[in-house]
Amino acid sequence: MFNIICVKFGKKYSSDFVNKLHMDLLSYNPLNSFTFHCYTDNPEGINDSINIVNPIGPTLKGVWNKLALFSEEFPIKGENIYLDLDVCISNDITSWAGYFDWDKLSIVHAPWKDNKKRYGRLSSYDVTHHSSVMVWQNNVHHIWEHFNSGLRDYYMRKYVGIDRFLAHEDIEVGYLPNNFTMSKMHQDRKQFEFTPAILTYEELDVQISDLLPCD
Amino acid sequence: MFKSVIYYRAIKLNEEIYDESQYGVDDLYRIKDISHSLDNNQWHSKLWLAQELHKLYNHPAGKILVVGGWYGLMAFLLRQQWNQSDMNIVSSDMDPMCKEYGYKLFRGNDIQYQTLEVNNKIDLSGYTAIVNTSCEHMEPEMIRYLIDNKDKDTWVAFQTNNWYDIESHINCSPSLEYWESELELDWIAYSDKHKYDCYDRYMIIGK
Repeated sequence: MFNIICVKFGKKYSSDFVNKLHMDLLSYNPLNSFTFHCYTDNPEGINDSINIVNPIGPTLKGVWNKLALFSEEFPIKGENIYLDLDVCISNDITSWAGYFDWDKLSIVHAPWKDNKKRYGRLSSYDVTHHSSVMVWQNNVHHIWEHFNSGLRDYYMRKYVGIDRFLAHEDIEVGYLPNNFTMSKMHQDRKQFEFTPAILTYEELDVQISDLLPCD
Repeated sequence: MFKSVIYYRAIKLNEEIYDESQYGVDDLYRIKDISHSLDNNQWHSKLWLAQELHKLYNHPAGKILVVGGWYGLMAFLLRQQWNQSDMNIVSSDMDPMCKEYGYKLFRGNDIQYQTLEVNNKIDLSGYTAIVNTSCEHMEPEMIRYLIDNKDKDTWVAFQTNNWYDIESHINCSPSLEYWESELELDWIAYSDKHKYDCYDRYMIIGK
């Protein structure tokens, strides 16, 4: 049984995003071979069929809570798939399980973020990581421990989000299969032989009505 | 006068950090962080605390613990008020680099630096004042711990703000009055706020 996990902290996303994501997953996987969890500071409005995971601490804002999923104290163990709330499901994502490297953190490869590369070296603006979808089973506790150190506050000032934290702190990650996800903004459906399982959005202010599946 | 000395040291320190980035640890964000720690709002709000605490404390000796002290500006400005060695001043921060860079910025000012995370294991005995200008960065339970575990007569001088937009601000307060009631001090000797461009900064001094 897979764990599919989303994170909802603060007011950026309503519980409707959580419920929609769960319903979309069920619609492509009616046999329900997964457990859906929402790690949140406010479970109000989230359907009863979704397992609520309460904050484990320390208090963090927004996307930084995604890193707490890698803590040894995070109560969900096993084969985990994390999804941002502003992704759209277009297929049964659990059917891709055989293509994942579960022994390390795998995230989306985002080569389009590399287009600002200057001076032949990685700058703070051009990382090719995208953490909208993440897959892992083991060997990730060190990521949380790296973050949740005396430098925790410094990292939150230094990095705009966790993609840059992962890249610039030299955290070893793998990339998910190319056809598994597609960027709505930066990739073209014609590039893909098969329908990608997940559509990712990079807009800052995504509305729930924007989240439409691939053809 | 002393301000220009500190700025000069900051410039030289930033040169060191740049040099290090070429051959060793690449952490250029420290340059911005050190600059930010010395900007006008930081000088103003910390001088405000140092002056008001000095008036109320009204004694030349003791031991002040600054928690969340960053690179040490708060401790330095306290030292300007208490320029006798009878006042022991400790600047602490959870970031281990603050000790190294703080010493370089404020050397010669009789400040002790410690790497210390505010948690429920800190020994507060012997301190006559606890200063915290970073309450917005700390869990409410840890602020509570400082108040509940200090000696009864130990002063606290705390600042926070209502700048909720910053990612690392996990414990802002909506108003000075709200924060007063949250801290539940036995006695409030001073309570006021200053308006800055993006936020209000609140300060409470008491026991």
